[in-house]
Amino acid sequence: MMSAETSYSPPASIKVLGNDDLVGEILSRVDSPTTLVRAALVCRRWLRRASDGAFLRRFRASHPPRLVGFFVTGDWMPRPEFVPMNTDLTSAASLRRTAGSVLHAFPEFSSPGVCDSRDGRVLFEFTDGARGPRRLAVLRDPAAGAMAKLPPRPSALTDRYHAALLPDDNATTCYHVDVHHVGRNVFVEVTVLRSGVWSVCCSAKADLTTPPGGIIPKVTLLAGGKVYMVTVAAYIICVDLATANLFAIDLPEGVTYEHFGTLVPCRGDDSVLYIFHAKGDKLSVWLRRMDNDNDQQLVAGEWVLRDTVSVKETCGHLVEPGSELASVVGVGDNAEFAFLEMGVGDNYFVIYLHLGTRKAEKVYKRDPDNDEIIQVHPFMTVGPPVFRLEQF
Amino acid sequence: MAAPESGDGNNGAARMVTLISSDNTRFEVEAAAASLSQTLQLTILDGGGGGGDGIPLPNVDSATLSKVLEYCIKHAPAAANGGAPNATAVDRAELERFDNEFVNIDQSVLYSLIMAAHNLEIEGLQSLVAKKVADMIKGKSPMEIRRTLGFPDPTPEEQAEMNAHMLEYGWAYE
Repeated sequence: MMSAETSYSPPASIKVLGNDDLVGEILSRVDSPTTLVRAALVCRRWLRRASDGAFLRRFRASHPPRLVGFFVTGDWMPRPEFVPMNTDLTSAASLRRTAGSVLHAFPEFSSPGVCDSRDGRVLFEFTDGARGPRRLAVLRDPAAGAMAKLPPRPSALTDRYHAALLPDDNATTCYHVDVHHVGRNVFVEVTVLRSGVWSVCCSAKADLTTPPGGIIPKVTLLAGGKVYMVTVAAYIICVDLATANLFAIDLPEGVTYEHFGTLVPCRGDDSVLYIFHAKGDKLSVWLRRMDNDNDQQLVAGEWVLRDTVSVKETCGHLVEPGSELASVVGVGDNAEFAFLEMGVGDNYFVIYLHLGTRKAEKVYKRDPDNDEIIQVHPFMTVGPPVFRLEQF
Repeated sequence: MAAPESGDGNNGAARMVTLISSDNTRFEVEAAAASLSQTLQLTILDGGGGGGDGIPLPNVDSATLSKVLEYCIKHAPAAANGGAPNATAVDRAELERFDNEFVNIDQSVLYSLIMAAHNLEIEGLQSLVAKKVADMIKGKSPMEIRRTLGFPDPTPEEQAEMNAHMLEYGWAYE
């Protein structure tokens, strides 16, 4: 029965490579996001397949970005400190090495800080020279440690710097957010750096029903084409970059901003926004859909409580008795994990808490000689990109 | 060999079915093995494929079908155990060894297997052959992937488009 050499039919290759189902089967099984990107560039059909939202969701689920370590930043620190994690992940060794040494390779960066970090990229700010202007630089090829200083922003633009953010897509280098508010009137201007040129991406203003009181720096988030800003009032300001709509999103009942690190927004896939809320011993995670796709289970516009954690129960064994939850200093996309600052007296630590497994780990000890705000920026392996299909 | 009304492989001789390839070769296999195919399973449950009838498979040639059945026969016992929670590590290692060797084949055969596994809806085999192709393109550039998988040469436009995309997306994924 094994005889007939002639019986293999003519090029099944064409049938396979041109069949969307089969291409999807193959692409979903490649080893890494890197291979996926390269395979997607093979031809238009493959690119379309790899760009499909449902496909990317499944791919992301089966190839989750891994935490390589984190940058700690604080006003009192001369430069961000990199702390490696998951050192068993040998495939991420080069990323860890780069992250650990990258800033030392740029001694001319004066008082550098981290603005944003996602998908294996890090956006730094630094002072150019002794009294120079603040500039931005992006670490965008982490394996090679390639740091690119970004061109300065044209001075004609407003100077009410609020945040610098890394984009959702790979074609944009970064966004710069300026904010100005008087009473109930809020004005936001977002400029964008693409192909080496800064331009205004959107200007948005609105009279909100109550004044924001204050708009909290350092926790501003870009997710799914929207910028989210935490305010002292009981809402988050959202700016839709595509439509230049500016509006307030009311917080869930009982959720308020008390001090830095009590209310932290977090990026989710598929237009989901998460927030972490710390109050007393309790850490709550809420989520909300930010679009109107009706093929999803969640209704847009409703907050859903996803998780509540007693910090003493999950992390208490790692710190001294009497330690309290001070703040949420960093979060992972899709509320996968959080970095919590906990302690008592002179002993404050950063605890890594994985929400799904409740696994907790002490990862950093604060310098006891100061009590400035610190922040943690997770550094992840590269995930699959969002392809910009409209240009094809 | 007499086929009982319903054989599950435990009461004496197992029930056999006949599959007929596109080039009219007849293959007699245990119903349990053929039932790894979702497409065939219903027909077989309805009592089809037995005796002199046979189930025609106009899209699968004999060489490919023989290879497909080699896979099904090997995997049928584990599948009958419902994912084999009680399979030993040795059994699993043996299946893994078999799978690795099984896909160590000429590319044209691999493609024929992909089509057959797809048409016959044999989940494990679909997964195995897709993984094999995915592994073949690991670490390759878009152009190398095209060559490896036997795409026709790109037109100048396609080539230009690939280069442009590589500039846009490639840098982050060196």
